[in-house]
Amino acid sequence: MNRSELIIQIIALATLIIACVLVWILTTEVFHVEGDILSVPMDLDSESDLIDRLYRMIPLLCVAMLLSIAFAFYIEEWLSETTWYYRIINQHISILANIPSLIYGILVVCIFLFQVGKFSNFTLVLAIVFLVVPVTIQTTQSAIRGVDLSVREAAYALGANRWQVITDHVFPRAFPKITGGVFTVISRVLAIAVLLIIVCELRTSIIQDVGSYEISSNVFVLISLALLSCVLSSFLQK
Amino acid sequence: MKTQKKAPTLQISGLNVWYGENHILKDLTFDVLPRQVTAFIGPSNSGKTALVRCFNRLNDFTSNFKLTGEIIFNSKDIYSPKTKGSDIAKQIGMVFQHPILFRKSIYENVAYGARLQSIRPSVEQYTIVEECLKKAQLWHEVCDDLQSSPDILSNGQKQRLCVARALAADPELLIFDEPCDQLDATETPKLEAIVLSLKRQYPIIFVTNKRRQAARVSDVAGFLYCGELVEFGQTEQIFTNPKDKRTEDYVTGRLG
Ligand SMILES: Nc1ncnc2c1ncn2[C@@H]1O[C@H](COP(=O)(O)OP(=O)(O)O)[C@@H](O)[C@H]1O
Ligand SMILES: [Mg+2]
Repeated sequence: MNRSELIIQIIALATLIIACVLVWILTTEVFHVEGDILSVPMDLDSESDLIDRLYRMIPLLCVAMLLSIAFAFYIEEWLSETTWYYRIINQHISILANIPSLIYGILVVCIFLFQVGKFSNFTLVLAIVFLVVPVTIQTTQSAIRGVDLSVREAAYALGANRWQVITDHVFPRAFPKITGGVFTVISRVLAIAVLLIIVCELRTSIIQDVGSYEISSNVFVLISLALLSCVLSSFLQK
Repeated sequence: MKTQKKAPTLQISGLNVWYGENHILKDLTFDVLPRQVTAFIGPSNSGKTALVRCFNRLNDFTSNFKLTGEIIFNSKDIYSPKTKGSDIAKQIGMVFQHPILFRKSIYENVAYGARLQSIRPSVEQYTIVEECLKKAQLWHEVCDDLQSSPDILSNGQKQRLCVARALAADPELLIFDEPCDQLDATETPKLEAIVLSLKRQYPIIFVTNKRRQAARVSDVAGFLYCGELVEFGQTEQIFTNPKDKRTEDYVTGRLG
């Protein structure tokens, strides 16, 4: 790993941390001011209410995935691999895509069950974006990179422009792998949805049992360690 | 009858090419004339592929590619900032070392070349496909299987299909980059025959590392060695009376 590589990774990590802090402030401070459309804390006494909200997330989910696929094509086909912004974007994506979905599950439990922060539509939207976008981008990227260079060259040599090469050759060849990635993402999202529903069902009884429950600081330490190791793994695997 | 003065198809002057730090082609100057086959010979890694990829701007997709000098193609500067790479590639057909076909039927592979020239009507396309497959001497072997995948074809047939596809894009120059590298002894003569039959219609650049093939096919030959154009002249002269010691060593088999 050379020096410029290291600098790129540090910048990537720094911007990521700043972004996370901003997101945290937004969810906990700004958006739970009452009266804000996004913030209306959820009154989830009934399970059907939750399921209703989850269903309404489906269009958002589809849009997020389509945009991610388009974005992956943009960075792979239009950005040069040697530019610093390509490398920073790539680093972000690989860190975020590496986060095990269980971490999201735990966060959901913390926010939802133990009322750390507020559980609003905005939180749900954010969770979906973080869960869906990086993995979709990453699998699409690797699908695009898997298309043989010689096929592109054969098309370019016939006078196809970049757009024709993508629509006629790269996309059809990458399509199966892209759909594979989409199903991976769907399975992650469904798993989190199941977790939410179970937590929702158990909420009343758990709260009654435990009373006001303080989350042990060990939980936060372990989550931090887990995040740190996944950051390290995405650094070292470059 | 007066012999017509042939305007050169390609005029290359002072061409230098780098891939990153590597100086791949060193100060090349020569002309490619119509109605003849210009061969480039030389051991592998001497820069033959790098050279022909300059003409249709395929090198644009190689990272850290740098070029100086001038390439004039039919009196247009290929590397002038105003010229679009895909417009140049449209006018130049290329057949690669490996037969690279698209995941389409045999018919669609050829028609794709025509379609990139904005030829849409299917009647017109069919005529072009038939004509190009005939020129590539493949029509009689595939006319009953036009809708099948090219996977059923032999390597030699695939390579001829690539020739037909390049022809369907109506090129003004044809480039063959070691087209017989993957072909067996029965297929090679067929491809050479096609090249000879096409040279009246298209200027042809033929890259090969087989000396005798260059002697059979070409009218003019250039010997590339480590990025230098050691000698460029009539094929007969190159092979029978080379001026440079290195050329002599190469054509007699002592070098490379
Ligand atoms: N993409 C590339 N990046 C850097 N160097 C390359 C690349 N492709 C080829 N080269 C180098 O360019 C030189 C000429 O290669 P090439 O034109 O393929 O030779 P030939 O076709 O005569 O065998 C070789 O030394 C090769 O190592
Ligand atoms: Mg080569």
